[in-house]
Amino acid sequence: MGELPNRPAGAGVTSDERAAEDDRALAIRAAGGDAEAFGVLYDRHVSAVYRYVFYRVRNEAEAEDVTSDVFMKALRAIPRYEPRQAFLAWLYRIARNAVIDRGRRLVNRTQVTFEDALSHGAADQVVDPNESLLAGSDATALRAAIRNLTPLQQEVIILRYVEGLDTAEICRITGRRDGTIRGIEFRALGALRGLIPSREAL
Amino acid sequence: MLPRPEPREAFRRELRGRLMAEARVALAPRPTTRETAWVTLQRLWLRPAFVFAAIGIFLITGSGLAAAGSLPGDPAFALKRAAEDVQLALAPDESARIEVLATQADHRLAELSTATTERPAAAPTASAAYADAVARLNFAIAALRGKPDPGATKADAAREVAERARAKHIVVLDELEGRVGEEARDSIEQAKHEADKIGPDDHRPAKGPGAAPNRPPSRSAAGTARPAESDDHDNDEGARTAAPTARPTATRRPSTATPSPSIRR
Repeated sequence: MGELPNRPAGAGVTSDERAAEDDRALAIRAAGGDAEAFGVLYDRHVSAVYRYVFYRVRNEAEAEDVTSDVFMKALRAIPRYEPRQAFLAWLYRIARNAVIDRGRRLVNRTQVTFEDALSHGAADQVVDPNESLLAGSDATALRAAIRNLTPLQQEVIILRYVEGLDTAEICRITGRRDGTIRGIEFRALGALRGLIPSREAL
Repeated sequence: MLPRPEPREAFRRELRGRLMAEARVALAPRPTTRETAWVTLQRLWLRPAFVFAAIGIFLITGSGLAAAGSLPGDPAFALKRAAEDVQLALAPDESARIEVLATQADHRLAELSTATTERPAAAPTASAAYADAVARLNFAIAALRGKPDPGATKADAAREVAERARAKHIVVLDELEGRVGEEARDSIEQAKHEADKIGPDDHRPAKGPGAAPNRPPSRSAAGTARPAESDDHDNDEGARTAAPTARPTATRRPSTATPSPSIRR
């Protein structure tokens, strides 16, 4: 089982399709009772799920908590996994609902802590270097600003600019049409421009 | 530049360990519904009440077929419920009765799924019927307390049934919520609220000072829709505010005192 490599971010179309097929095969095996197959799926996607959650909750402890929740839910739901659907899209949907559930439990949702973002400092490459807003923004301010977007805007920005997915992939994951996603991305970037101080200001 | 944080290695290993332990139980093969039904039939075939019920069921088979596909609120649904009441009356003991009620709650959940995806107008009624089934299950579990139960084996079995049902229903409802249209989301949200209540009071995660104790279910709840709660699951823009809820998560650990994750550079 361990021979399958972890999914590389930003890989080409062919390797993405191959990875999706591998996921599907593993999910079918897991649904049939193969616990180790589920373990491989976990190894392949835990980082992506963690990152997705990380940008949408207040701190790292919550990110770990919600990530645990996502995989526990996925484990219980895997016997009913429908192979026509991409496994990663299915997993992101569980993550999306877990984040929303988490948000509901917060009494003071607007209270934002910056300690975690500060602890991260600089990081990996931005996926789209042509996007001057994101490429030129301070990571701390950006992460705080993302949490001020609507849930769907957050999702699109994270999938696009953290995970490096293209619009078609985001459409598959969110179940929205191409034009809708582009519109959401456009509005999200517009909102971020108002939320993020310029580099000169920093 | 957008950071791409990685989870802590210790967290990743610890969660994998928990998942693998859980997977060995959660993914273990279970007897199919058909096998379970056959075992039940073998247990029941000598009981006179079962024979009478079988005759009755035979007489109403034609109507029963029509009722089988009915949804709460349909005229044929009353027949379906009557057949379920017969099944409940035939339960040999409290444990079997709880199993039957859990199965009925599963049926109401399946009907809710059908209603929300195929007939959204029927979703509020289906959601109310589901709430009623949950209340009946909880009432039966609570009733165990007043009866002799050496070793608390029946109570333990009831808790297990309730936990299994709650976990399953929440996952199904989460999935369903991602698929249904706006008009059915309130019904799903209401059902999720009810699913959280499955199980004995002292075995559920705390729900806060407003939590209500188990109470006898109303037998006619299936015909009335309940007021909807706010919902922002899987929603478009503008879905940002919501009421806090206490979702039970057996595996969740405290959110504090966790070291920072490492960053992949």
